[in-house]
Amino acid sequence: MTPLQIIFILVALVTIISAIFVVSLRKIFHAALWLIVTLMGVAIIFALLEASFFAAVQILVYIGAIAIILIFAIMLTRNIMSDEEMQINRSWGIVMLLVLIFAVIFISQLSSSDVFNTTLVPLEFQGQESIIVLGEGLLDPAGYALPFELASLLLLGALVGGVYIAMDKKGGENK
Amino acid sequence: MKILEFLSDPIIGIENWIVQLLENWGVATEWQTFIVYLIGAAILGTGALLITLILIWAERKIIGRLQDRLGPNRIGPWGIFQPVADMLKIFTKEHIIPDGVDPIPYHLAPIISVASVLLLWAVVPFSDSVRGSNLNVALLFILGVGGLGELGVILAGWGSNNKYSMLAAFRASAQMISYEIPMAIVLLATVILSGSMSLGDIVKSQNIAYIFFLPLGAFIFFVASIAENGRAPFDLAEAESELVAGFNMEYSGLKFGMFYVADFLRAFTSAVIFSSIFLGGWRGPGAEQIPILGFVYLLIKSVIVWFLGVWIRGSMPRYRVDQMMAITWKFLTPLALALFIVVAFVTKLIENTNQWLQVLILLVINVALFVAGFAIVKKFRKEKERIVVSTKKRVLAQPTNPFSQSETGG
Amino acid sequence: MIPLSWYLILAAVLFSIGMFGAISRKNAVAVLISIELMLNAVNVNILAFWHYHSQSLGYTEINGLVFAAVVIIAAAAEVAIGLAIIIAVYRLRKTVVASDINVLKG
Repeated sequence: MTPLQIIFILVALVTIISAIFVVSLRKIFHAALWLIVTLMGVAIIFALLEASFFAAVQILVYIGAIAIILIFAIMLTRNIMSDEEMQINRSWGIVMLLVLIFAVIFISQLSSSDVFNTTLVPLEFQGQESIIVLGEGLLDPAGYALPFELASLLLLGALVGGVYIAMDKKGGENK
Repeated sequence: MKILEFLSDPIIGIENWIVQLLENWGVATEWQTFIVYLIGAAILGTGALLITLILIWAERKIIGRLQDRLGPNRIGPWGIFQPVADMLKIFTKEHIIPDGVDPIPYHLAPIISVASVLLLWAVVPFSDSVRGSNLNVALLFILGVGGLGELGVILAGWGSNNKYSMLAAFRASAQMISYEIPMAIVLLATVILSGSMSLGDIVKSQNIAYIFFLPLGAFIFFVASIAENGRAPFDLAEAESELVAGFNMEYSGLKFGMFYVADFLRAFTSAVIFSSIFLGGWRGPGAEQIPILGFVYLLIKSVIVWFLGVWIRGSMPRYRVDQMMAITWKFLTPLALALFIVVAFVTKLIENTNQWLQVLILLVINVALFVAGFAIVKKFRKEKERIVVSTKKRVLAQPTNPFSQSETGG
Repeated sequence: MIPLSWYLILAAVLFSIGMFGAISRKNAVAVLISIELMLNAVNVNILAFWHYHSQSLGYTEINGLVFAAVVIIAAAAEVAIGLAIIIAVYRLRKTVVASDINVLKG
C-alpha cells in the first residue's frame, strides 16, 4: 500500500458514504451539505488523476457556485415539504433493486474489458502542459473551437433563460 | 562557510536534514515526501495562525491612532500582549449553544471559515524554492477557496437559527459571489501577461512588477479583495445598526474566536496574494542568491498592502447595500472586462517590443480606461435628477446666549 | 500506482447512487442534486480514461479534457435553468414535489 492508495481509499469511502447520505437524508438542507462533501471528494479524485485543472474547476464551479445556488433554492422552497415527511417514493424498493442490478451489470461489463486492470502511473509531463494543450485545443479551428463557442452560447442562453423564467411577472404587471 | 549557506536558505536546509534523517531510519521515498509535506503544512498553518496574534494587536493599534485613540495599552509595552490576554479569555469562556440550532452547520461553519483562509497559504511562494505546492492552477485554486469561505458564511447563518444571522449571511454571500467576478477577470489578465496560472511562475515572470503593467487591474483586485474579506467600507454583513452583528452573532467563546481569527488572517492573506501577483512577491535585489531575503521582501510588501487596507478601514464610511452591488456590477465588472479584452489584444500586438515600451503602452491604456470609466459613471449620475428636499433655506437655530432659554423656563 | 479499476468502480457506484436518488426522490431540488451526482460520476470516469490514454500515448490527449469540460458546462447550465423552473413552479403552484407537478398549464 502506497500513501496514494491509502488516500484514494479514504477519499473514495468518504465520497460514497456522503453520496448515500445525499440521496437518503430526510432533511434536504443536510443532503445539500453532504453533496458538498461528495463534490470535495470528487475534486480530490481529480487531483489524484493529475487533472488539477478540473480539480480546481470542480471546487470553483460546483462548490463555489452550483452547491451555493442549490442551497439558496432549498432555503427558498423549504416550507413546502416538511422534513418529517417521507422524502422518497413508495416504489423506492423497486428502484433500489433496479439500480443494484444496473450497477452489477455495469461493473461486470467494465471488468470484462482488457484495460480494466491497468495500473495508472504518474504522467511524464508536468506543470502547465496539459492546461496549455487544452487551451490550444479549445481554440483550434480544426479542434474544438466550434463546441467551445457553442458551450459559451449555451451558458449565455442559460443565463438569459434563467433570469427570464425566474422573473416575477406578476410584480411587473402590477406596476 | 557552511553556516552561512544554511542561514541563507534555512528552510531547504532543514528539509534536507529531515529527509536525511528519515532515510537513515529506512523510510520509503514516498512516505518521506508525505511526512515532509505534513510537517511543512503543520508549521505553515501554525505560523499563519500565530501571525494573527500580532496582526490583531497591530490593527487595533493603527485603527486607534487613526481614530485619535490610544488603542490597547495596558498589557505589556504598548499593549503588545493584549491579544494573548484576549485569547486566554476566549479559551476560558463558556460555549453557549443557542436553542434550536442546526448542529452540523453550526459547529462546522467556524472550522470551514478558518480552513478556507489557511488553504490559501498552500500556494504562496515564499522564495524560489520554498512554497507549499507549485500548483499549476493556483489562481483557480485561490478563487475556489474563496467559494469555501462563502460556504462557511452560509452555514453559520443557517445553523444559528436566527433571522438576523440569516439575513447577514445572505448579504455576505451575495457580496462575495459578486466580487469574485471582477477578481477572476483581472486574474485572467495577469495570466495573459505571464502565460501561466501557477503563482510561482507568475512571480518569476515579473521582471517588472505587474502593478506597472496593470495599475487598473491592481486597483480592481484590491477593491474586490477588500469586499471579499468583508472589511470596511464593505462590512455590510456586520452592520451593527441594521443586522445586530452579522452572521456570527450566535457564536460565543472559541467558535467566535475562530471567526475573528479568520477575519483578521484573511485580510493579511489577501495582502500576501496581492503582493505576489502584482508586486513581484519574493523578488527583490539579491533574493535569487539568498532565498531568506525573499521572505523579508514578501513580508515588507504584504505589510504595506495590508496597512493600506487597514487605513481604508479606518477612514471610510460603510456603503449602502445597493451601492455595494452597484459598485461591482456597474463599475468594476465592466471595467475589468474592458481591461481584459484590451490587454489581450495589445499584448499580442506588442509582443516582440521592448519590455519598458510594453509597460508604457499598457500603463497609458490603464489610465485611459480608468478615466473613461469614471467619466461614464459621473455622466450617468448627472442624468439622474437629484431629489430636492426643500427649496427653502433651512433656518438654523443660532442661540446667541445658550443660557437664555433656560431662564425663560425652556 | 492506483489501478484504473478503482476509479471505474468508484464512478459506477457514484452513478448508481445518483440514479437511485434521481428516480426515487420526491423533492425536485433533490432530484437535481442527484443528477449532479451522476454528472460527477461521469466526469470521474472520463478523466480516468483520459489519464489512461495519455499514459499509453505518452502525450496529453485533449479529447477527454474537452469532454469533461463540456460536462461541467452542461451541469452549470442545467442547474441554472432547472432551479429557475423550480422557483417559477413553486411561485405558481406552491409545490416542489415532482409528482404534484402534473399539469402542463400553470
